[in-house]
Amino acid sequence: MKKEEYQVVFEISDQEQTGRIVNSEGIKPYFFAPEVERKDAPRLPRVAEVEVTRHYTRLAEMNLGVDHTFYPLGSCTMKYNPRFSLRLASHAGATDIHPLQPLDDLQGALEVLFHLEQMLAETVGLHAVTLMPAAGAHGELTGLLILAAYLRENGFTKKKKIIVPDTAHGTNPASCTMAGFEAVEVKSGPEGFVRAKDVESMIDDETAGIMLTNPNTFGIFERDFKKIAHMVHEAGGLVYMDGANMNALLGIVRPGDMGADIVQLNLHKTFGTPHGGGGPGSGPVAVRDFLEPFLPGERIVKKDGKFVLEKRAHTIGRVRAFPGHFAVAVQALAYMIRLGSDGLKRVAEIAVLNARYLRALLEKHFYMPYATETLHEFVITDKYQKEKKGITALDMAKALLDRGFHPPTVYFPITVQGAIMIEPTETESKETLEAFARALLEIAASEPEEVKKSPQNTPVGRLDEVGAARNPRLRYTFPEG
Amino acid sequence: MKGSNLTMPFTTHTRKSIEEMLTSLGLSSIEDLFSSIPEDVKLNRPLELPEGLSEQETTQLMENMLNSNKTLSSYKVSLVGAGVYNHYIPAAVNSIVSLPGFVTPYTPYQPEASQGILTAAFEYQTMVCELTGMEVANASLYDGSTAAAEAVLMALRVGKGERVFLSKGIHPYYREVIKTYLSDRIAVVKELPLSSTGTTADLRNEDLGKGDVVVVQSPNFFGVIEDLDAWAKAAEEKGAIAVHVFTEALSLAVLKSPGEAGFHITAGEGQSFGLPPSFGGPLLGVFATRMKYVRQMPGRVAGETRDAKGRRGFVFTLSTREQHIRRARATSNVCTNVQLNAVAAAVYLSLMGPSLVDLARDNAARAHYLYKKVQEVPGVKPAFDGEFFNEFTVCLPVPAAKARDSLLEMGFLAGVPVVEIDADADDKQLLVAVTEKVAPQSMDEFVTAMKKVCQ
Repeated sequence: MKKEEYQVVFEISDQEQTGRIVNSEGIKPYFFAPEVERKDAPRLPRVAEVEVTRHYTRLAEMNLGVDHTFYPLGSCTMKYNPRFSLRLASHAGATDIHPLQPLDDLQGALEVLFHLEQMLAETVGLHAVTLMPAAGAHGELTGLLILAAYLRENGFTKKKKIIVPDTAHGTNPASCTMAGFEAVEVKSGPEGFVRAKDVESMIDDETAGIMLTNPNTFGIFERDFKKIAHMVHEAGGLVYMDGANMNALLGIVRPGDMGADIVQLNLHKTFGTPHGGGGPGSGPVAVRDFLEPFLPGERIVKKDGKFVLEKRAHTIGRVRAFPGHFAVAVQALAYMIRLGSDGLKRVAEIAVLNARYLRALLEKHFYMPYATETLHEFVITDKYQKEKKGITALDMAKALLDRGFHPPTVYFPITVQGAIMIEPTETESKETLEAFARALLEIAASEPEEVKKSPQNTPVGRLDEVGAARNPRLRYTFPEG
Repeated sequence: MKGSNLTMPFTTHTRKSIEEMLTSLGLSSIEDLFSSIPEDVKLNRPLELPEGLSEQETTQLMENMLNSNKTLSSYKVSLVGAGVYNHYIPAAVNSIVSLPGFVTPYTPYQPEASQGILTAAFEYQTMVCELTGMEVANASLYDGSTAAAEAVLMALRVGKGERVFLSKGIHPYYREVIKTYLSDRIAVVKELPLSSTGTTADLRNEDLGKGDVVVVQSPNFFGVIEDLDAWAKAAEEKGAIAVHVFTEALSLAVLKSPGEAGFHITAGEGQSFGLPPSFGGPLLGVFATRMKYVRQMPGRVAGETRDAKGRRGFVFTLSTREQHIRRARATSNVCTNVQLNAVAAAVYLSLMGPSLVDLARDNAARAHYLYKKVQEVPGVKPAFDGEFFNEFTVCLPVPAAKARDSLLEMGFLAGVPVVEIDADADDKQLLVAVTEKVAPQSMDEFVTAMKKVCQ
């Protein structure tokens, strides 16, 4: 067999796993009747602890994280994750508790969730929050199911369409479908934001609502939001705001104040909790007062100095078996308490300052689809570089890896060709922003043959993604015999 | 620069660098950065939140709250399960999943800089396939309940059906989540009752048709092991799509796997593989199916490929199923999953290796010991006589919540009164889970205490 550059755990040769991990002494193993038992034991790796540790440490070292380098992944808000909140999440009072213990023994957990709900509600200017959704997309689904339940309750059975801009994250239309709606697309206007008049022409009897990300994925503030919200409300629909980009607005604008009825937040973006290479995140949903009875699961209320759970009359039902991602909630609450009112506003201010500064360093050299003022992120494209030299957004992304930076989001938003979407966040220094801009400009000025060789300083080079999809190998194949 | 706190943590800027940056942008104040926002939507007052605190003050405040929780290890014995299990976690799991290379990256959009996550995802998928007997697994979903709901949606797509039959042995919360996900779109949801053995009534008696979806949990909510062969066979005969659900992943190590039995999809909770209970989250949604249905599968999946030099590497693949490509027509809206917890499970399963089977037999042995022992208490009877894994239901002579509260005063956490999860249930039923953390001696003490409580 071909020797690979690095192994998967199954390829580490059979080792003796000496030493018991659990106390099974004196316990006589239980055997089930043959028809109940599985025929063959699962083939799990047989590797000693030292080699397990080395293997996964090696794997961890092959990943780039916020701890390693600048990570300007647009719309993902990759800010530094403070260590004190990570430590709190591993406190026994957070990990060693079970959701079905008697509530008297869980008052601290309910208090954490209660406080976080209240602080998030004030932050977005809405009445009630559920922390049950496990991620942003799960929050979207929850919010849309609430919308659907509200419409059903009020007899608006014809309302089945949600207006979604063409610049929305893919999760938005996908969530609409899952919640039983039809997503209808509104095009962004010539300045990169949705115009009220374009929405107006789309509204009809079937309009259930609108789903707007604000600031949108170009980092542009949807300045017609309030007008649009008013129009949708007049038509009997509701306004959903995707709060994925809330980092730009903390303490500056509250979605509720401009007419949003439902907002989902991403604690792993805005509130400093780590992303874990793809989760766990947390996607709380905030709603206006008349939607509170539809919230999922049970509500935490304080009665006679004690926290208790209450089910609401029109609840959409649980969207997840247990209350939510508690460990993530602990970190987000700690983050909010630490920063406080001023600190949270400062987050938005510096996030926008950094993005604007970086934009200024780059905008003369790259095509920008819109000249409109931006907030926490901005989009440039590969237009000039591609036309002149054949250097694409993907090439530049890979070349950034060789220079030690994580690349921005590329090829999104899909409405712009060769998009490069950059979000620096507030935790980066001026020097880092300048170094990144220098690197990107250097790449743009390089010879295409050189750039196309990238990445070379990574564990593997550009991978054959087409081949991976055409001939899917989705699990390890054990050698015969 | 009025109004804002310049000493805010987690930024690096000095007053000087902020001024330099503003000047270079031709702006005179921070407020100018927000001139694209219409004035009439601006807040123009501070958020009504407390002022910021130091790291130490925040930590103390948070610890005060967390300390007022009673931890599972502080009870003399803890027998609470019902979807979240109190297993021992080897120390190496936590040290590995705390490494910055696993904690601080985003979803691997740049595979060359994410080979660690992708390799671990590939390993995890392989382990899930081995345990479930299925051909393909995804890289994780949020938890067992959402994985079960996604499984039902996928089964409806695969079979093009409109009817869902749910066993009443499925965890009541899971059933609720499935119904929430179905919303009002699928009209017929029939719930199949349990028999006296605690297994779901015979599926062959149902009016099943082609494309219908049948869902069973095993071991079920009450702990009883269902006859998976019979379910798969009945589904096969009628052309229905069979979905298996589980809440205790450890059972897969010894019990007949859904793949062996012939199920089309399996979905369940993987928290038992190295994750703490954490008040029910974050957990680990495990999802696996047959290769022929892979294009209908929700969620990310890692696949093997090569680079130009022929070196092996891994990427997330078959992404034309997913929301970022297919948008409204995606198989699911899922984006962020619980990747770090899937890594934890891969590490846990690597550490346990083949001894996972021994651990499963250990759990079953302890549970069967308590099952027998608790029947020494006058008036206590098993609720069902079917075989179980590490969790079972007993009928007490007194309301279960009352017994639980009395035992709590003696320091024992007795389990879950079924009625607290399922309002229609008999209020004397108590659901008891036994893991390797429950010592035989403490079970004896528990039974002695039970005798006092059940008088």
